[in-house]
Formats: sequence, structure tokens, C-alpha cells
Amino acid sequence: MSTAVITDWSAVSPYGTGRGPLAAALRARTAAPESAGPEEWTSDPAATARVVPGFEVRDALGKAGTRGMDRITGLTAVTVRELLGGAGPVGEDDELGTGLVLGVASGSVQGFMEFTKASLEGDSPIDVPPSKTPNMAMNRAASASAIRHRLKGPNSTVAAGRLAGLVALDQARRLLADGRAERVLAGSAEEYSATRAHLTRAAHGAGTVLGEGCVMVLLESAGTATGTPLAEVLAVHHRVAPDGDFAGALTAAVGAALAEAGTGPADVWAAVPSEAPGTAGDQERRVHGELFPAEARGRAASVALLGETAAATGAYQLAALLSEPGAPGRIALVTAVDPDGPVGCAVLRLLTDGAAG
Amino acid sequence: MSAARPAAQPRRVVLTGCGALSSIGNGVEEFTEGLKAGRVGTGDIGVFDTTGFPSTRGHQVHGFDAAARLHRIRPEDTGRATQFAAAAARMALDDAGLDEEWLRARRGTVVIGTTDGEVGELDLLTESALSLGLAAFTGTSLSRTATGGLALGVVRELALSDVESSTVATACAAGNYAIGAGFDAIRTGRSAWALVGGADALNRKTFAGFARLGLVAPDECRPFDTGRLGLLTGEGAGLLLLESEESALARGAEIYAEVLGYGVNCDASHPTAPERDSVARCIRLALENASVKPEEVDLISAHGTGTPTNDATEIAAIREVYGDRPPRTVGVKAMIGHTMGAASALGAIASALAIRHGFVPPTANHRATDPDCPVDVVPNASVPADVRIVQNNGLAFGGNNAVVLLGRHDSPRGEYAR
Repeated sequence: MSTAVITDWSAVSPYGTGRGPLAAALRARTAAPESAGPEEWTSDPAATARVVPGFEVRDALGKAGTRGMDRITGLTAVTVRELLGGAGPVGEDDELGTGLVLGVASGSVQGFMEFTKASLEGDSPIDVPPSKTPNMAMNRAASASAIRHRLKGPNSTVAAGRLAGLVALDQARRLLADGRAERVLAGSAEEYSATRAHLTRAAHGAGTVLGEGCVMVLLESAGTATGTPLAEVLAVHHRVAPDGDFAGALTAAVGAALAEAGTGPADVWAAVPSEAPGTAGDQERRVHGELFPAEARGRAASVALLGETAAATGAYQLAALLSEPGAPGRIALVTAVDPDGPVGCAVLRLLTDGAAG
Repeated sequence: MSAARPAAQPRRVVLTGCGALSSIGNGVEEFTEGLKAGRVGTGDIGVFDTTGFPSTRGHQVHGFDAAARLHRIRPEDTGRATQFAAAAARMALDDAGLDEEWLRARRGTVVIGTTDGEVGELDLLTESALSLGLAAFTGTSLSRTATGGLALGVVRELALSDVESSTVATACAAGNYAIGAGFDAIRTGRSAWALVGGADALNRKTFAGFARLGLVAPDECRPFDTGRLGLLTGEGAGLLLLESEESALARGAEIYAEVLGYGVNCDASHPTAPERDSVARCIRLALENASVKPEEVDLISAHGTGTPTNDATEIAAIREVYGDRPPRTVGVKAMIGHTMGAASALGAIASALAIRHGFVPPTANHRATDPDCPVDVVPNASVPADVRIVQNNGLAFGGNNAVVLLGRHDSPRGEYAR
């Protein structure tokens, strides 16, 4: 497969809108600020979260076409807007050649549950809010972003839990390699919500602090990239851990990814784990300890600074690497682990000094 | 374990196993008989309480004994859509004459398309939260409501590990997206096999949403009919076992069809309404990818939801590509309902069955073809036909289009040659 290069990236994070605030905070190892979550059905006033401060979809995107739009769609659409710098594709060829792959976990769980609640509690079971019906489809964030910026190439939404960022990156580079797109916006997104908090805390402990946000990278084929390459995606490999053996499966995935990249553990300048909750995360850290020296493990920011960001985690890990200063040519990798079993690894070659942005 | 090596030359990709769950039958034999007979699987929905809905009809899967179908994943721990995906995967594996050991010895791909994932489980959680409060959220709720669980259910059921798995949530075109992902994985040699398709289960959220939008038909779904009044929501799963031609021939497998290629694009225009030019462009992308000329296509398995807008737009797009004499164009949703993420996967299986068994499934419930949909819809009764190449359409909310091309494979083991 010909390699793909990341030529730009942006984000909406608890540090603010755009790549600058996130990159600066990751470089400084600043934990995202904690605050109360939004007031909504089942919200717990005492719960703390690392949310995008003051984020309201209609304030961020304007009133046109945003009535009833769910939070994950808003976070994604703002990130896409920031990444395209207000420009977007120019001319029909550009529009047709631009794809988007978004990784998610379950979309807007809060939105889905409130929709059903309206059906259960209404005078009639179809007393559901019409403005929210477009949210019914889990592809809304990706397709609404495409509508706003005329991205007419392949448009995909992939659900893969904490692997979502890696799987999206992999699908995006395949679209390029197979000639199905000229450039692809790839990343992953997660919204904070009260119901997601309850689901996550019930599964992973009452002390879990949830984060949210979206990071998207612009991916182009190495041979035809028009932007300045920031990093080359050398390999992505993922598989599923059988019976809780995350360490064994992750070791195999890292080995396969490094082999595909034509490199080895000793060449890895920085290794960033996904900081999965529970035993999955313990085993992930153990694998990093076995494969990489302490310097490599400490060179880039930990996504633990952001809280448990579920589907957005993988994209935040890429941001941590892209933000970190160092000499061009560094080999770096991220691993991803989901407590339900999937594990994966992406290997990059960082091509700039990381100081931009 | 042998890792699949990237192929120097693109491999040809063939379909050797099908698993189907639908309102007209479970398993490929029942599904085939249902399509041939023009059976319509409409009935009253019993998966959730339909009290108070203006229409209570839909397409439910009946006679599905999850405990009997599933060997490893426990039905009591798993949502209905995941059960469907896993059971249909096992059916496809059996149908291909393969076993788990064969899969485990090779790197593979599992991609399941879905509209709703386990939204049915979120419906139950919502009811439970309204009565119990926060106690409704338990330690397993996160896993059993995760959309990625559909693909993972297949992986768990078959005890796989060296497998890339993902769930594609591109709404009602998701099945074709999944087939496309499997096609590319085999074609490039990244995987030795792929289990791909789609699954969805009936649920209150989506039923309420379509009803609120006024898109639900009062009695039957009538694609391309003058009197069409909307869709009927359905459920089911379609899973396809794909492998390289080389692999299928080496093991003497019977080949349903060759996957010739596919196209995906995005209207980037309207949240819920399809756009003619963009759908036409997607068809052209698929034809080009498959190296097929329009005049070589014998049959189109349309998205054909039975809503006024979809059908007129889709036929206009088809005529934009095919001119005044498009191939026969059928809407199997009249028989099986709109099975959401499973729809284009079941459509692809129906297309493959048409090729393999030499018949065109009908557009059921048909009375009079809409002048705005001027095509031969093959009304009400299937017809014998020499079907060589089929185009299978999947269109979705959000303008996510995906079109797959399937063609007859000249395998000596294929049934047509006997």
C-alpha cells in the first residue's frame, strides 16, 4: 500500500476550539479542566467531567440547519470547519475527491434515549421531536459535515469503541490507496452526556471522569499531497483479544504493525497508549513496559489528561504525537485497547519538528 | 497462523457463503424460496409495544431460536441485532462449507453494517431508567449497547482473534459499505476471507421516527407503484462469506457470484432526501470500478423503499445512467421490508441468488407502475431469466450512497454449469 500522509489536523477539545489550544496543552501536559456536565435528563449535578467549555451547537455553527442537531454532530462539524479553514474543496473535482471517515462508539446515546423517552411519554408514541429525527441515523455527524462543506467523496461512519480513531485512520488510508478518494478527513468523536457517564461509570468505576471532543486529520497520498506532510502513516493493524488476553493480542498487533512499517521496537521514539480503563489498560501499560524503554513511553502527552474519551481517544493520541517537538523522521506509535476486546496499533513517521500549530 | 500477504496483482473476489434472516425466511434456502414465490412477510410487530402507533405493521423475523443458532455468545447477554449478525455469520460459514478452524488459520475481516446497532437495547434501558432511575445502568449496559458489538459478536461467536473487525454505521446503505470493505480487503490480499454484511433489529426509536416523518405505509410497501405510501420497517441480517477466486477454486467451493466492484459517494446535499445526479454518479463509480458497461447489466436490485421521493429519484438516477431502456429493476423491500443496515446486504444476497438460480425476484404488492418510475419492475411474480450481472443499490439518510456489482462466475462447480 502506498503510504498516506497527514498534512493538517484540527480539534475541538476541552482546551478550546482548534488545534492551537489542544497542541499547547498537550505539550505542557496540562490536564483538561474539570467542570459540571450539561443539565439534561438523568444528569447528576455532582458529577464532574472534562467537557468542551461552553459548547453549544447553535452558538458554534449558527442557526442555519442546526436545529435539534446533537452534540456529537456539532463537535464534529466544528472540527471539520476548523480543519478546512473555512475554505473547503474548490470546484467539483475537489468536492468529489474529498472523503470523510469518522470513528464513533455509539453516537449520541443521550439523543437516542431521549427520543425513545419522548415516544414513551408522549400523548402519542410518535410525539417525537421532528427537528431531532435526522439525528436518528448514526451517520449524521459525518454526513452533516459533508453537507456543510460539499464533501462528496466516500463518507463513512465506523463504530469501533475505543478503536474508532485507529479504524477510521485505516479506512481512510485504504480509500486513498484504492483510488476511491484524493484526500480524506479522518478522525473520531465523542460527546459527553449524562447517560454516557452512567453507562461508563457502571462499567468502569464510579470515579471515572469522562472527556469528550473531536480530532480530525487531513490524509493525502504521499505522492500527490498538496499540503506539507506532518506525518506519514506507515501501518495500522488491529485484531481482537480472546478471553481477556489483551497483552497477548496487543503484542501481536504491535509486532504486525511494526513489521508492516519495516521497523522495530528499538526504533520507536515515542509510544502512546490509549489508557483504557480496568484490566485492559493495565495490560496495555504492561505491554508498553515490556516493549519500549521509559524514555519512549514518556515522550508524548498521555491522553489520560483528557479523561475517558472513548471513541475520541485514538484521534487524541494522534494529536499528542503531532504536537510533540522533536527532529523530523521520528518513528512513533499509538496503541488502542477496548475493554470489549479489540486492540490495535498505528505506526507513524513524524516529518516536522512538531512546533507548528 | 499465516498472515495474508499483499497481492502483487489484485485478486478476484467471490461469494461462496450466504446467511440470511428475514421476514420471509431464515437461511438461504428459505430466503431463496421466498424470493421465488414472491412471498410477503408483513405482519404485526411484536418486538416492542406498538400500542398507539398509527400503523403497527412491519417485517419481523420469526422462528429465530437464538440459543439454538448460537454456540458461544449467550443470547441473554446480547442484543437482538448482535444475535442476528452472529447467527447469520454462522449460517454463511456453514453455507460456504467452511469451519471456524479454517477462519482461525488465516487473517480475516469482519465488517457489519447497521443503522441502529443496539438501539433496541437503549430503548429497554430508557424504559428501565424511567421506572428504576439510575439503577437501570448496570456494569454490562455499556457493552451491550455499543454499536461496535455487532461485529464483535460475530468475532466472539466464531472465537476469532487474528481478524480486523468494525461496524459500519452508514445507516441504510451500510450493508453495501461492508461488502465494499470486504471486497477491498480480499482484492488487495490484506485478508484471506471476509464475513461482511448487515444486521438490524426492529426497535421503537426508529419506528417512531419514520412514523413521525410520515414515511410508514399503512398496509404494504409498494415500490415504484402509483399508490405507494411509504416503507415498512423490517429487521434481519444478511452475511456474505467472501474469499479470493484462487481460494474458492482450490478448495472446490461452489461460487454464488463474483463481486465485481463497488462505488461509494455522498450527496452532501440534504439530510434525508436523495439527490438524483449524485446517485447516478455513484452508479457510474460502481460500474467503472467493476469494469462493467451499462448495457451488460441484466438486473438492478433497487433501494426501492416505497416512499414517493426515494423511488422517483432512484429511477431518475438509473435512467440518467442507463437511458430509456434500463434493465429490469426490482424492489425486494416489498417482500422483506426495509431492514435498514441489513437491507443492501440482503439485496446483495438476493442478487447473487438471482445469478445462481437464474430468476428475477419480483416487486411484490404491485398494482400500477408510477409513470414517474418507468421501469420493468417485474410485478408480483418472479420470472426465470439468464442473469449475468446485477447492480445492487443502497441509499441512506445523509446522502451516503453505495452500489455493488455482482457477476456470474464461470466456475465448473457452479450450479448453472451443471
